[in-house]
Amino acid sequence: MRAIRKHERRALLQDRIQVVLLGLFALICLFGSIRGAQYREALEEAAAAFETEHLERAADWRARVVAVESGDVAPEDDRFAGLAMDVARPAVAAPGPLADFSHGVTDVHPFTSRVSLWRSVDRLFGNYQFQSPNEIRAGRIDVAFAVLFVMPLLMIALTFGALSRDRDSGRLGLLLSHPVSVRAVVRSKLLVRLGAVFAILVAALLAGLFIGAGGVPGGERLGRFGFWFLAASGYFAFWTGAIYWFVSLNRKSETTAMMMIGFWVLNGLVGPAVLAAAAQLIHPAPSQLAFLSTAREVSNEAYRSRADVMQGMLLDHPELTVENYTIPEYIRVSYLVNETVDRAVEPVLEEFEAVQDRRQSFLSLVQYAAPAALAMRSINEISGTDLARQVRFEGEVRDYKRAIARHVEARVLAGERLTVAEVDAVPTYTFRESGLGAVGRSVVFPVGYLFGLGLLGAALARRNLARLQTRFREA
Amino acid sequence: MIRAIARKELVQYWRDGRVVTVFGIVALLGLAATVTGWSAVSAMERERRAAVAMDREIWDTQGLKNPHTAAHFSRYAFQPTFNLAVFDPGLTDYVGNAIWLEAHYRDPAALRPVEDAVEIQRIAQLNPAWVIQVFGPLLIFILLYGAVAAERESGTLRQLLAAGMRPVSLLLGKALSAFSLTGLLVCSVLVGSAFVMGAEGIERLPDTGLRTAALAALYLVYLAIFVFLALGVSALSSRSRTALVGLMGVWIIATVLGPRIGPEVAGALAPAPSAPEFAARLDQEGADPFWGAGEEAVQRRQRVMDAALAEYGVETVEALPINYDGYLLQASEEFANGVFDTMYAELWGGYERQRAIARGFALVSPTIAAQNVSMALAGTGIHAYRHFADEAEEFRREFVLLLNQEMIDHGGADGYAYVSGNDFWRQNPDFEYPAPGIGDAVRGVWADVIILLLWLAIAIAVAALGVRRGFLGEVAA
Amino acid sequence: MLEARELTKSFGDVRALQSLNVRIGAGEALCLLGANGAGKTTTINLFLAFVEPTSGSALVNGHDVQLDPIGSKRHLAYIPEQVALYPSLTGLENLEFLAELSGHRDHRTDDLLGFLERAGLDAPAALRRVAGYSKGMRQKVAIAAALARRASAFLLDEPLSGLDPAAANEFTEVLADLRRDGAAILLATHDIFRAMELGTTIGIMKSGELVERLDPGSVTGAELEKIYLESMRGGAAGAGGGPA
Repeated sequence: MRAIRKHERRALLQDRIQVVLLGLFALICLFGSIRGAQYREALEEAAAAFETEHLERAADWRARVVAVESGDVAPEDDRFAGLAMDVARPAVAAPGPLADFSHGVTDVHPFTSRVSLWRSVDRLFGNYQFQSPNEIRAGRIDVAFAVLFVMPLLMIALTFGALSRDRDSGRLGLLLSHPVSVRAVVRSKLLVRLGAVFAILVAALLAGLFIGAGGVPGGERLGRFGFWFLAASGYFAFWTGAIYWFVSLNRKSETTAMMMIGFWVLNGLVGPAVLAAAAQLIHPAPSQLAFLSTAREVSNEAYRSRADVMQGMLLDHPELTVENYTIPEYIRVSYLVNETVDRAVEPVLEEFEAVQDRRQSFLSLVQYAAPAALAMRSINEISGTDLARQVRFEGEVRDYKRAIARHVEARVLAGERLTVAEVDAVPTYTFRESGLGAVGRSVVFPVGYLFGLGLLGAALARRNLARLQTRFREA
Repeated sequence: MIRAIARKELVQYWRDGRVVTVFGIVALLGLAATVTGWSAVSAMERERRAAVAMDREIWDTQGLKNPHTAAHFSRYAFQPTFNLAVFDPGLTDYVGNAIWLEAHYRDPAALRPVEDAVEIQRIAQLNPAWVIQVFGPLLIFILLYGAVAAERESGTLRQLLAAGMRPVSLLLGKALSAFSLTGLLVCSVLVGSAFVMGAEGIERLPDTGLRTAALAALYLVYLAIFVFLALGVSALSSRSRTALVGLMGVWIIATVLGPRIGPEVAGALAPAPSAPEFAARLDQEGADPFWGAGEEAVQRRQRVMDAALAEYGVETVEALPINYDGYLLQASEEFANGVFDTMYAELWGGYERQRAIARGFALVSPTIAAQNVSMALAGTGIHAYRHFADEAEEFRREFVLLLNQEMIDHGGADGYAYVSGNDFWRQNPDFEYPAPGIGDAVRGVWADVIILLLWLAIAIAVAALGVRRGFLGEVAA
Repeated sequence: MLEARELTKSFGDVRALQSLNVRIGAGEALCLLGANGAGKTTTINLFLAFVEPTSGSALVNGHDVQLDPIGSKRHLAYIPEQVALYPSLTGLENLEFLAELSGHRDHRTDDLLGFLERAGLDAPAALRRVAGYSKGMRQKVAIAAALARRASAFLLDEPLSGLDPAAANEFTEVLADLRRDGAAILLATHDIFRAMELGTTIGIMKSGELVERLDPGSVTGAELEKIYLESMRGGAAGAGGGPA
């Protein structure tokens, strides 16, 4: 068998087209890594810049409170210093630990928010829709794309003739007249060709690990990378099994190639498209426009009947009936209007989240029908660029706003300043990535399934090839 | 003779299980895509109409309010999803379909459906145009990779030539059969889409008939490109296996990789401003130089005041016969509009630059050019989106002016305390979107049309070369 | 009628055919014998206009094949060793297609079945897909196609190799019938005895030249075999100067 492998290695290196294809794959991976690193860096910079700017603004604002409290500035000279309504804090979800490997949904969702009581929860994420729609529509070339879509194509290109070329040229009979097992022959051929692909995959992933980290990667990144590597290997194993099986069917080269491409199309294009359409058809999202209308209607209604709203508030909080109210009335009206809107849209927002949950559970089940979709979802989750993470972030930001509101509400309504101590006690927000354990638990089954499919393909292929040993002419 | 060859081919396709299977799958996909397209478009339209009605209702009943406060609350422009989006939704999911027409700010279109979409939709979105763009060529390549090469391998080619068949007849016969089969697919998908497009509750795009005919022509040209390419490659390949592998490579580059690599490289070469950065700039540059505490802003406000005083020939603001707050607000609006014009021109210009670079990749992937033309004709391309956004912006400016004018003319010395009531709100106009006609739609894609025709010429040349080289090669063998 | 005038073909330095002069009239059959590479297939290719002659000309029914490649094929039938047909079509459908290709769209199904019958293929077999046909059956379809287009000139490139004796015999008889009906036949073969049966002239080719021209009536099979083997042995390649 060593002789076959040696011959195969030489044949692979001498075939210029195959070498070019291997090089092309390496190039796409490298391009994806570099672009991914730039992309992640840009997001990180934008997130950091946003956070710094708003923290600075908050610090300036705090300085005014300190000045008034220490008596450096007379209260009447800075009427709005420490105005409770003006508390504003940044909430930021920096890109996921491996966002450079897979952009996931990061390009269409907000990752920064200026949380302010002046904004109702439906407006916490302002104007971020500036990317080129053409670019979003086309999708990105990242490492995930290279692994999920380009790698299988390369595997197909290198292997579709593994057995059939011998068969077409009539060499197979000659080969089998020697005391060799056809299984060993096929295995050696696949080992050499797919081994080359895997070697490039490993090298590319490692390169990506370092390029994206801009040096030695940290622990979190390393841990996630371990899972990413496993998922990519699982997908490779799945394709290896499938290819082994297609080859073992011993059809003409064209037929083999067509079956493999057909499988690629079903798995990579048709499957995800149909699953996505099904998920959205079965679990339609509530209308965004209706949500918008609801928020506006409530806001309009609350504004119009602000006197009643105010009255209701005072009935609930008689202690807030203050004499000598010096802060303009519209401030607490705005607070109360926003509060009303927040409460009114809460069920709709919950419905949005619930629909996403239902869709995710639906996909978690049906994704097994399209391994590309399954692998993509796992990879996004590992990378920290999945939709569920985004939904969590947006929900947390809304909760954060409520937490700030609870903290300062009494002062807003009473029209009083916050003290420095109160300013310092305003809650802060930090986005926490899910732990490695949680990620591991949620991807172990999908990734295991990929390996399982690979083994299944290989087992079926072995059986086919065993039969072929004695009956190859009948195939 | 051509007819005989085409008929023979069709019988062979019919008896080839692989062809029937692939055709069946593609037809089924086309059907599913049409149904989902119809469901999506009619849902979007239903929601939009409800939102439009609600927006009016809310506006009319807001009660007593300062007109400028109302301008802050303002209204929305909702982008209609037109009938042809059933066939090619293009950018529909990737642009927002509601623009807030608030004072002092030009908002981007918000509520992009893609934000609600499941993440795997980003791999591929099922729609009729996509089915034709991607699977039409695949079907053609499967039908035709052996057109000449397999005939040569089996020896039939030699006999056909001995029987006096002209090479060009063989090619045209094969082209005719593959073309009629895929043309059938295109036409049935288009007819299917047209059928559901006529359904109640879906907005009709101007020139729908013309656009549909142009779409049919576009896709026939598009498929013809692949038909001739396939014939040429098949004739030039020594073996059908080589032809198949070559054509699969063409297919992958043209339909899968090209449309993704083009915009990616464009993004790398002409990076767009980051969204948070752009939003922040828009915020600041539109407001700070006018309302800020800086010297420039103070002077600017002073100039506005001087102009007002000069205009009405009075000495003090108090003596003005108008509401000066409203006057100042409108001045700030006009200042900001200039800033928005510059900044949005920059943004759109950036998109255009990227698109031009991406279009360069149409030289390796006719699919890119076909997508651009298809979206433009379906009214779902970048130009349709921009047209809507510009119309909405124009309306925003008029609408804000209307509100400020109300305050200026009737507010007198009340300043911000001046309020208007429902009677006034009810007189305010609605945003009526005049969708552009086909002439406007194709203006942005003439380069793509030329590229497609160039591709057709190249494909025919390849096929012609195949006839000359491929057949000579055969007979000399 | 098939006619070659000073027909010469070189591939680079290699003389594949050297000044061939033959004339095969109606009802005549020239059977070419010769080793592989002697120039038999080149001769047939030249008559088919598949290759361009270096000099000289080939005429089919008076049409120069280079000047009128399509017209010259109107009444020409070509039957190679391996008749290639479309496996997913039936024998009848293949025939129908081949007939239409040569402009005969007027044949009814009965006519076509008649041609197949004459070529030795019965109706049930004709209605089966060609994928299951034997080599002999395929050749019968090719003969039927020649009949359908009323071919008067036949080019046969080793059609007998690989046929079992019964099939070869049947095939030769059909060809003999065609010849008697006025066809001009050029047959390249290795089979000396079938050549004797069918030919009105036997030609022996060597290194691109027609080195012997015999009347099958004037020699016995054994004598022909002897002459054939001797001509194969004698003389250096390309040096043999037999009368043209």
